[in-house]
Amino acid sequence: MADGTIFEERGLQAAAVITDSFHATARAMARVRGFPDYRVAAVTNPIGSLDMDGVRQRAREALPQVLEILGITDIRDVPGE
Amino acid sequence: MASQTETEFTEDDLRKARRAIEHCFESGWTDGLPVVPPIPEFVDEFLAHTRRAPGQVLCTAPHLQRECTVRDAAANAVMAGCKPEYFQTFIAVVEAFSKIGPVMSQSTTGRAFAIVINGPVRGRIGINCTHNILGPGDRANSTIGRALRLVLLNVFDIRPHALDQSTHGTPSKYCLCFGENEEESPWEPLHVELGSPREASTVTIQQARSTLHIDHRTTQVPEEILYTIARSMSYAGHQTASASAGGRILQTSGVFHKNLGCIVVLGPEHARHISKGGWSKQEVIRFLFEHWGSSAGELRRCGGELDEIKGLSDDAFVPAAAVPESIKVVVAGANNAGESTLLLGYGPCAGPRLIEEA
Repeated sequence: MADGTIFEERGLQAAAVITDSFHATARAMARVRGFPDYRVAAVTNPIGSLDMDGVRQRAREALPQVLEILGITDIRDVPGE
Repeated sequence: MASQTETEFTEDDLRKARRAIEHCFESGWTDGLPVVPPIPEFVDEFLAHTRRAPGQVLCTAPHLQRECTVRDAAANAVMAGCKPEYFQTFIAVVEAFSKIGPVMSQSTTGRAFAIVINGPVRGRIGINCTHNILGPGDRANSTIGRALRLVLLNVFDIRPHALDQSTHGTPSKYCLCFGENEEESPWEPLHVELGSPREASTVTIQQARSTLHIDHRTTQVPEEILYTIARSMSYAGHQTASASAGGRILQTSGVFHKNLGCIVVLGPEHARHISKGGWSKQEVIRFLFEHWGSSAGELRRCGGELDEIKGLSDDAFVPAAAVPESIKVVVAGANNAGESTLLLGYGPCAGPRLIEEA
């Protein structure tokens, strides 16, 4: 979370991804960092104990949220793609 | 106690004192226990015990955009119930802590900070080094340890349900501060081992996620005592936690691997038995280092089948740490039983930090 806000401060678009157990911490950190309305992508907890299929499922959860936060409506909008 | 209180204070005084304490609760300034209201007069009493400027910064948390000044430290030392003469020691505590960093206080593993005090200051301010050093009852130990937690809560705003993400935490987060029992140690004390002069008074800090008790009174054989301690250091839940850090625990040069830390609080009786067997402190640390870890088979049974141990036989030993310096041996506690305690955690120790004279 802190890293995401630091990127934003430096003019780099960023999307922070959390698991849904960390909403309270994310809100607190966003407030502290001066971004009270900072939006995060949240996926189902946990991550650490997943196998690769589970990780792919979390990625599928995260991707549309990350694209929305970054304002990307079409994957072809991504620079370099 | 009641009669003495009645002679010094009117009931109205005490009602007002209670209201002031309640005000501190309502203001969110506590660790869940009552604090001493930090009025400027009290804070100034503490500031008179140091030559440091009140505005000097002792510790920063850049990611939280916060810093702890000498005055902040004094206010929280007042609230914790410290005496003013503890303040130079507490300044050293905060400065040593700054080397570890407040960021480590936000972990889900709920880290406490073990504060070890060495040198003559122990006698001057009444730091307990013997009976019940990790338990309640001694003002200097309890309040200096507590003051650091209040700094984390009140200055850095690392609170549960927000920036403190601890799954459970540990009672040691209230306070974990003790002195080395240098007088009953057969070896050089921690601060001397780490390069300070013996006559210096110092603070050394190590993160500690838990305390683990070791009770072994039926042997005086050094190898048996030390093997018991090493196996206790290697309990499964600590090994798997390390393995979950991307498997780096099993590398020989990974960051987590090198940064595993353990303070072995060796009871004086255990220390004496080991020393009588002709062991130096360095030999003790080397033995513990060589026996701290798990077999590959044990890690597999725990679900730790990582790339790094593929191909190893089940009985192959997988060390828990890369360097012996991950282990600190501190002789402390009462000389009354074959008992020791482990303070297990992550991260390097900070210090020894010199405690200044006023």
